[in-house]
Amino acid sequence: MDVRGAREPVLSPQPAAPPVAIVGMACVFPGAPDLDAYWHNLREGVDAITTVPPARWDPVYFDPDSAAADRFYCRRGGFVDGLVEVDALGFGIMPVAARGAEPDQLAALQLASRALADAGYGERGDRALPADRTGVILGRGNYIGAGMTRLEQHVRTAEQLVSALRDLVPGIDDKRLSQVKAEFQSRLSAYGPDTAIGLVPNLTASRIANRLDLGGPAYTVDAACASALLAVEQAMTGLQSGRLDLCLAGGVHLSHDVAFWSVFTQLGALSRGQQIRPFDRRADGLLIGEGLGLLVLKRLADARRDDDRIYAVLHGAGVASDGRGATIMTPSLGGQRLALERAWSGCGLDPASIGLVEAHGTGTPVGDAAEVATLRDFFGPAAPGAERATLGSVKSMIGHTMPAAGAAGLIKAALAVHHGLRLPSLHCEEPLPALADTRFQVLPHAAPWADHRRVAAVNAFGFGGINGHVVLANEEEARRARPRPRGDEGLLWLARPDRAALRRALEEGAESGGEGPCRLALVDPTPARRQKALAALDKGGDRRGRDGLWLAERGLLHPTGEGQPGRLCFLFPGVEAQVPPRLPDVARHLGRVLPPDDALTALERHGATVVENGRLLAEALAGLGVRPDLLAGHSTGEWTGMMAAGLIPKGELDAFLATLDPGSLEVPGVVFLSVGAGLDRVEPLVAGIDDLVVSHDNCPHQVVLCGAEGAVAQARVRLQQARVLHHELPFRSGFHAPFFAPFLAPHRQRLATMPLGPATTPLWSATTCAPYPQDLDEVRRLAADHLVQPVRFRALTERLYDAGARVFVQLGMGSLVGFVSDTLHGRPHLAISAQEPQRPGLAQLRRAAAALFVEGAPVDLGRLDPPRPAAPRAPLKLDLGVPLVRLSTPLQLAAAPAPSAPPHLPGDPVLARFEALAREVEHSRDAVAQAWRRSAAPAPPPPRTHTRQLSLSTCPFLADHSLIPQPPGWPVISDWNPVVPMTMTLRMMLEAAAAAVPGAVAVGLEQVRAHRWLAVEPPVEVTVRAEPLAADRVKVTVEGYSEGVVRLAPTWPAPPAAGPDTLSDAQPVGISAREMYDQRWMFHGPAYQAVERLDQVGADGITGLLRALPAEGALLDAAGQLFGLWVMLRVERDKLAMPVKLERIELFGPEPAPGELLRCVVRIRQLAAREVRADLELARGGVTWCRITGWTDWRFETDGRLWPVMQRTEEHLFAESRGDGLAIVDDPGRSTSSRDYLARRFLGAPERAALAALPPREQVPWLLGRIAAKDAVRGLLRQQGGPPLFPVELTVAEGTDGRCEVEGPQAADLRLDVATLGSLAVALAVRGHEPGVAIVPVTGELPEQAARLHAARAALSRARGPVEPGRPPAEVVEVAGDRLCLDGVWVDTLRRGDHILAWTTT
Amino acid sequence: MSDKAEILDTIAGLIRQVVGEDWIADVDIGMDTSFSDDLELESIEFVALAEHLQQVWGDRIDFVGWLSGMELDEIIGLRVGQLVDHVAGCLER
Repeated sequence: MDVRGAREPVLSPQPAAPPVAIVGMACVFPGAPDLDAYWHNLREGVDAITTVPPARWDPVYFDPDSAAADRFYCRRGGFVDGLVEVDALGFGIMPVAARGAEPDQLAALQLASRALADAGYGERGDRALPADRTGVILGRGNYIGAGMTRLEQHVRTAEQLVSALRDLVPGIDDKRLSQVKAEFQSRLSAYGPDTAIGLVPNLTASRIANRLDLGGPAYTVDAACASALLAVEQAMTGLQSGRLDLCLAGGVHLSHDVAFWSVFTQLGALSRGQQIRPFDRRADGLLIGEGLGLLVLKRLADARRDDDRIYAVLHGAGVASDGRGATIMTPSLGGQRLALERAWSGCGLDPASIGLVEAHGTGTPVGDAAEVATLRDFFGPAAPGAERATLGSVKSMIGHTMPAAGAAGLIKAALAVHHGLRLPSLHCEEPLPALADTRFQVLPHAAPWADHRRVAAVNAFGFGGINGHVVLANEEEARRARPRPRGDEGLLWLARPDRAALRRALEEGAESGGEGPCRLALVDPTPARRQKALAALDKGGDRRGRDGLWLAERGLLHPTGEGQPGRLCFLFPGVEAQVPPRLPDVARHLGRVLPPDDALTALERHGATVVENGRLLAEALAGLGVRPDLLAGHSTGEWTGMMAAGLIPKGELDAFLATLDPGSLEVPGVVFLSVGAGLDRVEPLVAGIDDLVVSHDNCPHQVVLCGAEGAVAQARVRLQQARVLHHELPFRSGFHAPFFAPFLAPHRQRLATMPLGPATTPLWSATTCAPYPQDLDEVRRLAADHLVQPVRFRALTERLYDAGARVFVQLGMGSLVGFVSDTLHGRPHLAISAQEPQRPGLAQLRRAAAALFVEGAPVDLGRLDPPRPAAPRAPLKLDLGVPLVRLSTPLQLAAAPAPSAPPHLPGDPVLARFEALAREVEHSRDAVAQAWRRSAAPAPPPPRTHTRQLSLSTCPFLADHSLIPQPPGWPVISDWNPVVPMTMTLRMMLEAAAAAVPGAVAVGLEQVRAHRWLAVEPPVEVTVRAEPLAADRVKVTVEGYSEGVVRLAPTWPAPPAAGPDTLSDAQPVGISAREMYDQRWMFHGPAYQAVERLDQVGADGITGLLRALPAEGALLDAAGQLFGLWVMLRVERDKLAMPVKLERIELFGPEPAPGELLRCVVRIRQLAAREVRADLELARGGVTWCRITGWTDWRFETDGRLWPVMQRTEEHLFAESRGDGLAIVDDPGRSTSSRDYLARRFLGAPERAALAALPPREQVPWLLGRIAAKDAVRGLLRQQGGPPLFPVELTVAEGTDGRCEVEGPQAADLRLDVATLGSLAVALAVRGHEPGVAIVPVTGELPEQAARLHAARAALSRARGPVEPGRPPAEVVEVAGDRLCLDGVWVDTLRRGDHILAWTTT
Repeated sequence: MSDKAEILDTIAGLIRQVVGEDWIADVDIGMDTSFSDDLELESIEFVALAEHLQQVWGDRIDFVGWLSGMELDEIIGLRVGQLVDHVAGCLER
């Protein structure tokens, strides 16, 4: 039978479209700068309505008795002034452009970034955005915004003002009109080409796609008040059709323009009572709000697959228009009902299940009545006795946010279903009578919403009859959302002498720091959380919670004056049920890379990770200055503890653990049973069962039983009957029970031969509940025997407490924190884990360190966070208002105007003489100018060339313009690399041009380009060619190096007054000019140290004072130094900026004499990936001497690895150093210029010559090998306490036997081996014997294990010399993790990408 | 439904008692609150919570029997609402 021929009946409904999940949200609404604050306000029913701030519209407009179009009877609403902050520079937008842009564009960009971060796609997120398939759809009304208004004022209002004055004020002249216009325009924010693009309305969406590099469709939707829900509906459709994988959707409205208010006033839609009362019988109109709400949407199946946190699931959306059924202002029931029907049909949910409706609810009598009728009509009447669903409108708290209203409502509904809370709606004390007949009621307070299935719906109905409705519900599937990366959650820590001072500091928003016993630490210090901390402070008492707030008046570790301070105990967990994640971020913080783990079995990995984490965390805490007084471990955690105590030398424990035979970790037929009750309860319950023992007595609520399978089954039945919680553990090692005794011998043996040292910190045993013995043989016995003895952790906790332990830190993941707190319940103590599965390693470590700080431990919290630039970037607060412009310069109008006649006072001979003289001067000036113009007309003079010798002998000051700092007194000049500053070249150009056209003054320079460094060692002769293009323009070329066009004039132009020097978000630079040079921010020596004082740095520039110095080009070079310093302070990478071109220089006088002081203002115009451009002004005595437009610096590629090496080479290694003289350079993809810099940094003159002689292909490996070699030596010497060493002080050369030899201070008996391959190099330096290193690629033919062996053999043969022919290759004797023992020599290996590195160890 | 709200209230109170620290007073404990992600409840605290539940509702609920049917991952992922549902279910019977 042909199945395909049989037709299905077509009556079956369309399958429901796949549901869409809300996985991220962000918002700004009145009273709420962020999502957390919004949720808080929704829950608490906060009324965020206020009187209009005067900056939004002038109080003059308020007149309750006027009916004029420009007078409003209402003056309250919802405003977000001061709440909208944008990190414009972070998005690559210059402050001047940001200030001129439509504010909602920048605000939307910031919120998009926040919403994505909330969804786990943050900057530090650990997963990539599906950028090509991510869309942006925003509801935005095409209403007039602040940006458009400002533009309008510039272009139209200014002219209107002038035109009115001209018409009305007799005697006013053009000069005065220009003055009025100029003053008016100067009071507006800047307007220019940069800002104009910010006024294009669709940029609100497309700028997000542009700045966040998204490839999906990005556009705005305007459907009046339904806009946001329409945007959500379109986003859902895009996701459901598979066209998009992720979509940002929401609504935006930042406008309280007077025109907008006028419209609503004229319509009579605003409340005369100044109160918005949705669904109250007294309602008389709406209040206008504003804000932005963005949601991150994704198909539910994808969200579940990705373990996203799901706020709510969107099941259906419906959109409908009223058709002809409505007038523009009066809604139609038909259109609303149709939208609801469309949303619910096929969405898979029953309207009868509705639990909450977030209504359109504007508080207008007609609108609310229509909406209630629709709800009654669609959801049916109230069922007698049934609980009513909740009806509300967030407009009662924030006003009507217009196109963003749907987003405000949807975010509210999503939070309600997510948290299971029915939310209140305000000012509805007298509900509309019609409500009684519906299934809904309005709640004055929040109430729990305990249904397992929580279904909600959101309305948004727009002017003109456009209706949107969305149906959503909570995510039902119980899942464990992935821990979202919250690495950068931030921490505020404060110490003060007493509570009052602490409170003051918190209130005043003090920065982290201070002294005193009264301490506080607050994770994620948002304003809302600071409030919470204040409340906790006021409440009294200490806080030791898991909510990221710690507070102690006198911490447990703080010396109290009387009695001993409490003691700090580190606890090392053993292997528990959950496999702990590794801690790569903590390793990075310690400057290390975790070894790859591919060679380990799961069980080995589990055990190895527990140890590795314990060690990393102990080391990280030690690095912060935290030292424990006591140590203890749980089960095999005691071994980690032995190492932390110093009992086991570092290398030995690895060997011990790595060679544990995994088979020995399982005792057949033996099972562990964890029981949730104390020993007193469990023992009688399981009495009489054979082959069953208590292996762990952990705390009053947990013991662990160990026994034969049959015995455990028996115990389970008894426990089940007694309703005692219990579960079987997923491992069967038989540890801590007699069952393990037959397997103990190998452990005993291994411990017997293991070298032990004395403990430096006392380690307590959970077997004896006392410190480990002094005698090392007894230590060996206890360390082995504890495997067959019960773990008495509860008793140990009590003994530790008796010994003074008050603060317990668990170094790894585990249950010990719970055990301790259960045992010590009610007694003062703190137990905290330094690792939690919910957070990245560093984040939880920071929390543990913060808690320790509060308890009085000496913790250097600052070291946990990467060093910030001297002046952190302050977010730009967006200015939302366009206040009326007030002018302040009164017009001085003449009483009797005589427009054209010159002022003439007859009978005054002195004056007449003066006038004659003035006219004469004027004439002669014109004559000179005419003569000049005439002389400019004929053909320009011929080109002239001259040469100039440049060297340190002709220009000794250039020694102070050397790019590469070297050890003081270093004799090889070329190693310093002295170069001619670009500003000296400018002077050469000006002089050459002036010489070519005698009698003229060089007043400017244009189109300057520098092609390459002009280095002066060895000495160089340059040819300077001056080619007049016209009488007033000369092109000057320094052949092979640079060029520019000099402008000439008969005299200096009149100098303009110095411009303003205000910067946005200005703050002190933070370092002094002296420090700038001493700390080598600048490479310049004394002759070029012309920055006298650093003043302010801001988002858009920097200011300072310069002193003219005799060295050629020193003054303008110092201006360039200021510019360069801004880049160093304000950008994260590629911080070294060097001038490459200048658009225009204007000079207004001769060069200042040495000693003269000039004020310099640098204004940044553009910050791009590779270039940064600025305008500069130098002024003396209030007048401008020099104005530079378009000075462009090239940003040299300097990553986090190169930057410290550039600043202080002698103190930093470029290679990764692994201690013991090993250095690895893994440096792919570096640009040529950056690599050239490295070569200059690391190689002396002979080595540079050797490099240049190599074929190009061999140069990179050779260079990286030399760097690795020198850093291996520098690392070893540093470890041995040697002084700082510059790379040029070491010479590495190939010896006769193919090995490298090193010469230099303290390097006499150093032996060295280097291997390189591509962009990878490894070097090992040791004393006294030959080292060996090797790099071997992993390939299909040579898989990892084989490559490891191969590399190890190669390294060994490097160390021992070539293998004699016929001799068999070295055999592996032993393997321990990545270490191999070949013929008695241990070789370490490391996988790096597709290569294995190997090196011999001692 | 109001029964569940009451149960949620009781359970939230017990959680606060078990944790016994100031911070938990400020936390909204709702149906969707996760024991591990939101409250960071230690396994031992969970045991103590079970003890309290048994004290409040006695033999009417079988918390142990309910949990013994779950995998460790499920127990870790538990939300307060699931516990409320379970208790409500037991009380109805």
